[in-house]
Amino acid sequence: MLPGAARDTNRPRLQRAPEVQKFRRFRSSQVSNRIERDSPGNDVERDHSPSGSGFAGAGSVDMRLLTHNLLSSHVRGVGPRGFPLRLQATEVRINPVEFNPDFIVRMIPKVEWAALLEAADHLHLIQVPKEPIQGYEHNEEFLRKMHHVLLEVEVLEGTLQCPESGRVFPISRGIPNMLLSDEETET
Amino acid sequence: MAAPGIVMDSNHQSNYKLSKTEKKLLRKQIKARHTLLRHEGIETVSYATQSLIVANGGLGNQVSRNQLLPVLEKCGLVDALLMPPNKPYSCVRYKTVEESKKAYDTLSGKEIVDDLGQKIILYLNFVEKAQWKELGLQALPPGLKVIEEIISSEDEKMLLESVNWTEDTENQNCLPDICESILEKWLKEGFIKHKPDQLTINQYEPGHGIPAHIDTHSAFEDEIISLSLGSEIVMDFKHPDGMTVPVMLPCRSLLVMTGESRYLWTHGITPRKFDTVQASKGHKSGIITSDVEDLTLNKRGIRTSFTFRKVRQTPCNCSYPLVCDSQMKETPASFPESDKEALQLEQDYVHRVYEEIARHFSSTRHTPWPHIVEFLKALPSGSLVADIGCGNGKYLGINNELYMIGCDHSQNLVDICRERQYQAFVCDALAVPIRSGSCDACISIAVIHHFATAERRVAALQELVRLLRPGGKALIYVWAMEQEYNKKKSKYLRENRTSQGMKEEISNDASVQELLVKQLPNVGNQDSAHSVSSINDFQDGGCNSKNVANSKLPIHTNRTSFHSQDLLVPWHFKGNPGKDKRVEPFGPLGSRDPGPVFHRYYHVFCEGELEAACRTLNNISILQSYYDQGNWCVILQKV
Repeated sequence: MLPGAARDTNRPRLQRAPEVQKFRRFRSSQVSNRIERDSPGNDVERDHSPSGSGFAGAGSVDMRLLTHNLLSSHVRGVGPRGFPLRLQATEVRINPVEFNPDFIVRMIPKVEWAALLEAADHLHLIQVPKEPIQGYEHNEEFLRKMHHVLLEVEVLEGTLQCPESGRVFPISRGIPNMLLSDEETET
Repeated sequence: MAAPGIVMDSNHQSNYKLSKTEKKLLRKQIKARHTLLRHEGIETVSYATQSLIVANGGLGNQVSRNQLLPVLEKCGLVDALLMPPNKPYSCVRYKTVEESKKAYDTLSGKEIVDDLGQKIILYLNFVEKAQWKELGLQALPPGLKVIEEIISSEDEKMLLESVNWTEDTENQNCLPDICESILEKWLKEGFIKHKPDQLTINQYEPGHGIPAHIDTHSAFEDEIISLSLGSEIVMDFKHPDGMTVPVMLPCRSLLVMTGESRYLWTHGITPRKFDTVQASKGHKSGIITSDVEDLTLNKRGIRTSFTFRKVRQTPCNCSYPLVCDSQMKETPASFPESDKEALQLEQDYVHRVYEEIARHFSSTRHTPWPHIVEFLKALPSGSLVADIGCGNGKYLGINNELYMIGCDHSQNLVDICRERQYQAFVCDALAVPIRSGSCDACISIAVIHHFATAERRVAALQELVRLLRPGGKALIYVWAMEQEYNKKKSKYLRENRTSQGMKEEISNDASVQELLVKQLPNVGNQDSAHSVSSINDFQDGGCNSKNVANSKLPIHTNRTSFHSQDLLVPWHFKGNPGKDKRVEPFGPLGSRDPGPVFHRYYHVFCEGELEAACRTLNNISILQSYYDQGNWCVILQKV
């Protein structure tokens, strides 16, 4: 099983709402559960398949590391020095996603590896490959590890910090808020 | 009560000689305890328990969960952290008493930094578990009351039977007798302060909801009351800061909304068949806290609500001008003369509006447009695609083979994307926080027409191109000024005739959802009776944008042709919850429940304008330029 074993979201537990998610806090060695306030709406809102490969577990989906890999600070004047954003997380969860090797193979060349390693390190993820290995296209073990790191680790609560300006952007309920204030956007 | 420090810590060895700082801390701690008791009715105890009150660590004094939680977690496993809105304290419960004690010992007097960058000192005190539950009740939005069992089961039955759901759309001019007598009784008993003169009856079947909204300030007075019959339900109240409080409304209870809860907080019912409730409380009223051990599911039944309001005769003068239509009307929108004015215009007439109508807006945006679907499906497998201005995520799930991320200025719309399991974040389309050259494709559907100056519109296009890798493609859709093209009227225009018919059919099983779609302006659906001539006017590429400086922005009449490129388009919020179960309101108002109206700013494009704007960018080539159902569209490629 992958580190931080996936929980079964499909079977409802006694006395718990199936629509309600449970989390594992990633840093401590003990497991702690918290209830998420938002429950997803009715089934009508779930008729589209999620972005990326295959089907994710019931409920909402929070920021994945592949998404983090694309994000860059847009604070005035920082330009390319605004990447990568320094990721800190207080709430993380593992959300299983169906493994699609072709998809992962296509993603690998697009990943900024140093940024991914840094983010994975901040989340205390283990077993993250240091770089794409030779012949990765056919190496299932490697692809599965990358699939897990890129698509199955989600950040619910945390921050993203611009490495150049120090400006902090919050991640709240899985959504990064990258809006700058009026003063910050003034020309 | 003896000073806590001394009672608690046996290591003190009855050494009463405390240092100066320790004495000061103790004084402040005692002061905090007294303040909590006096002002908030919270009783602290001097022996260790699992729960602590963290004075000065609350949402009410700008301390966010993000800042407080890590600090608390250093002392142990946090079972739950309750942060009531607008209160200068929070309540934390640890897994064990030992951890709680550790927090008490190490964090009392601790200095942290709040949201505004100011230094805050925390003071911790123990509370009993029972107090914790009471705190939940104190977290009700200000001005909100729920009165349980306000009518008997017999009266409930009588009221339900008195409702005639069929045809009769004739408005009555006074409230039914049965309601009059009940209202008199409530007035006498002090449950309500004013006598309402308007009644709306709604029925919610399981799975039905009503999008979050504030009842129009200008239409109704302060006190708004709602009687729940037939079944209980959970109603969500949301503060503009984002804090959501779910409140249980039991059967035969009366919800009374006044003050802040009426004017500032939105209320809504999530469309679903089960509510999460507190098992211990059963069907009793109160907020639903995050007490992990106590939650359970409650299956919804059919709930009928009788909402009584008093019609307002004078403009609203509440203390919440930003959400008040009476007070906002006083400053009419005008054509912007500077970037700053443009920003303000967009803030007031685009961003604020979408935040308020988000859920309702989303419910009318469910059919993806074929050409856009075609574009997405044609992209190679494994492409990275950004949807800038993704709204409710309509296009984020079209093609599974892509990795799509969406972004939007509206937090509420991005929330909906997340619920639908899409990757999305909040940002401004003029400063997209995605690294340059990383996207294989981008789409921008019905977004750029919300920017108030030509420079800003071009800047938005520049951002799209910046994100693309060389060879990457972008698809852009904007609302067209010409609503009839090639002698074919757009859907918006054709809707006009059918929509009249739909109105009369309300009570005959017409789906309200459909009704909303057909009646409300959909992007790309417009009306133009004089279309042929208007096409001729703009044929020479240049558009006569006659915007005179300082001129007021005209308010568009839905389903008519556009007479100006820069205008405000009304959005009518209709809070119809159920299908064909809406009874016409009683009362002197005469016509149906007005509902709030929101104005959205648009700059509609004329033929060739979008293309011309794209051509100002020197690193692109235009692959396709076409007209689609009232929109001008461009597909461009980065060279």
